[in-house]
Amino acid sequence: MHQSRHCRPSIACIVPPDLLRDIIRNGNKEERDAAADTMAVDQTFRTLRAHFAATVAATQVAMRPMGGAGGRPHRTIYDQKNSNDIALGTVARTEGGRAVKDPAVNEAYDGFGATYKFFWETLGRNSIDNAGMPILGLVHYSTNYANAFWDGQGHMFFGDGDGQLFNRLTSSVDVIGHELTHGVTQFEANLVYQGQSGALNESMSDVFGALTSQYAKKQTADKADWLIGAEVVGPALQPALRSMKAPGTANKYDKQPASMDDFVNTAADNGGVHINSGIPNRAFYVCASTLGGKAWERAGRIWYDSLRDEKIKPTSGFKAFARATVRQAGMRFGDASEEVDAVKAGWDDVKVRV
Amino acid sequence: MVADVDLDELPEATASKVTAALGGIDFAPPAGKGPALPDSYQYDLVVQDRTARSMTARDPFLSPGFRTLVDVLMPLARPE
Repeated sequence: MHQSRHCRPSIACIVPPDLLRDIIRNGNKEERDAAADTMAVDQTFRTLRAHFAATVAATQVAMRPMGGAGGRPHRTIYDQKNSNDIALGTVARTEGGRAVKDPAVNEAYDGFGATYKFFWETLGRNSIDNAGMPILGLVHYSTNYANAFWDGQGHMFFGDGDGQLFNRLTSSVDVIGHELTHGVTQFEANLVYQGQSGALNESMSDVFGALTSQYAKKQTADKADWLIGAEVVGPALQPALRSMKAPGTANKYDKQPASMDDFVNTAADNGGVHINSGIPNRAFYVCASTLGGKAWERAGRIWYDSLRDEKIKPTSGFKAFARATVRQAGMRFGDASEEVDAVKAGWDDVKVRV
Repeated sequence: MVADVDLDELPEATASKVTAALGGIDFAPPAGKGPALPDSYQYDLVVQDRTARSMTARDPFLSPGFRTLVDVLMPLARPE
């Protein structure tokens, strides 16, 4: 391959299908002159994944508690030391261990604890798989990494952020709850991370991430801010990553729709999973605020029951899920109940026909 | 976010590093670009010279060379 300057080659790197599409350019001299290591490229990411999966499976077998009725998490936090390595790093804190000097480690540990407590005490769920699955967090992943994600193999990765657009990603309980809920969804409806099912997957994580935070703060629906990630965004992205109450208003780059009238058809972001999640998010907010009180007691219960509804398949979209919420609300509270009316009001608000 | 970079407009040292990184990347499409992990970043790389070559990769399954390119290009990314 030749990169002749006379040809003026250009490189277009279309980066993440991230909800923060319109981030301000950050191009100071120091960053432009970033060092690069000697290239030794291989196409082994598929091999890496297979190796990783095998390693994780062995680790989980070794760490799974022997029986037990639940009620207590089993947390381990690993320090990746700003490496890109996906293998488990240095153990930084284990279950029952004292707080350490590293705030990211403590935040991940405490956030996992808050999420476990929420699911156990309000929904009777024993960890990610409802069978006491160890909760494993990998902090300080990569360098200036402005993201957190669930790897589908039992691990949650957290970056430190860049200090300008993002703070460290462990600093938000709803972000930690969001990531852990991806695991819950995987073990329940296993919603495919694409299109409407993917947007539902994202919305589940926002719903239960928000409820984790509200539960920890003992907030009622009317007192909650319904914002996702308010603690992790920097000045340029204030006040938050997303708003469940008012999709599209969380920051000046937020383009989430609040109803099906504005559904975004796109190939980016796995078919807009972080974009169109605003629609079911808003439906949940309307349902919860219509009912009032503590959102996890009724609206959250209905949504959880629906996630486990036998008619919800991995490819289910908004309409199927909406019908499930009406069905589950009727089963738990009665067909003529105010809960059914509130669920219908939520979906009517966002123009998803039940 | 998009980083649309012209090598002629980069500092020489950076342009050399990018060129070296590109020289080591195999643009032959793999059997799959890896699973879509919830919330993980996806990177689409298009290089236009006399021909157009492209590839896509996802965190955390980036090859070392691709990772280096991401580290160089991410600070140059702009709103799309």
